[in-house]
Amino acid sequence: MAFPVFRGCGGLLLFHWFWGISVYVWTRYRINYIYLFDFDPRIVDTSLSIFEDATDETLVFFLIMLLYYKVSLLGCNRIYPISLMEFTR
Amino acid sequence: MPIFVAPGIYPFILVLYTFKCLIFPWRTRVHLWRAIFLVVSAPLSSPTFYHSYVGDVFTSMIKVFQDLLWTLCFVLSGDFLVHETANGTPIGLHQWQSSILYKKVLIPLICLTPLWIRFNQCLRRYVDTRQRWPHLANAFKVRHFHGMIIRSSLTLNLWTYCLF
Repeated sequence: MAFPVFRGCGGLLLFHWFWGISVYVWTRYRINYIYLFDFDPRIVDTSLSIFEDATDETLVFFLIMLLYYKVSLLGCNRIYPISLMEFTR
Repeated sequence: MPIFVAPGIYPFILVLYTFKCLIFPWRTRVHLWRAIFLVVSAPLSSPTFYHSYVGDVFTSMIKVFQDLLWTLCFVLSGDFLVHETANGTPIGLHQWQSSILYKKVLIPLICLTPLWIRFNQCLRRYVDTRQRWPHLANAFKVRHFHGMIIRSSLTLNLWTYCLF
C-alpha cells in the first residue's frame, strides 16, 4: 500500500543525486552553467555539498524504509517501535 | 501511550521529511520554487533557457508525479493510520485508488499537465522570437504526446475489451 510513497520520494531523491552529478560534470568540463541558467553565483551549491545533502536524505530514506518493512511486512507490528517512542510519549 | 502503531506512520514521516527538504534551506530553495512558478505560468512570462530545462525535466518526471499524487491521496484519506491484522491484511482501507475520479481524471491530468506546460512554453517562445523552427516543431511534438495520452486514457478499457 505504501510502496508508491517510497517510490515517489525515492524518485525525488534520485533527482537530487542526478542534479549533483550534472553539476559535477558541468564543473569538471568547465561548462558555465551558472551563467547559462542565470543563477545567482553567491548561493549556488557545489557538487560536493549537493552530494552531502543527498547522502543524508538517502540515509533517512533507507532507515525509514527498513523500519517500515520490519514493522509491516515481516510481521513485527506487535512490537512497539522504539524509534517512535519520542513522538508519542 | 499506544501499544501498537500503524505501519503507515513511517511513510508519513518520510513524506514530512521530504517536504522539509523541498522547502529548507529556503535561501537556496526559493530560486527553485520561483522557477517552478514561472514554468507553471509559462504563457504569462517569457521562458528562459533554465525554465525550458525545468519544463523538460517535468515531462520526464510523470511517473514520479503519479507516485506523489498517490502519496497525497494516501495521506489525505488517512490510510496511513490504518492498522493491520496479524497476517498483514490492512483493516478499513479507503477505496480511492479504484475510484473513477482517481483513475480516469486525476492520473490522466497529472500525465497531461507537464506536457501542457511544455506546450505553452514552446508557443510562448514562438510568439517572442517568431521563429517557427524549432519552437513550433517542439510544440507539435508535445501536442502529439498529448493526443496519445488522451486517447490511451479514454480508450484503454475498450481496447482491453476488444483484444482480450
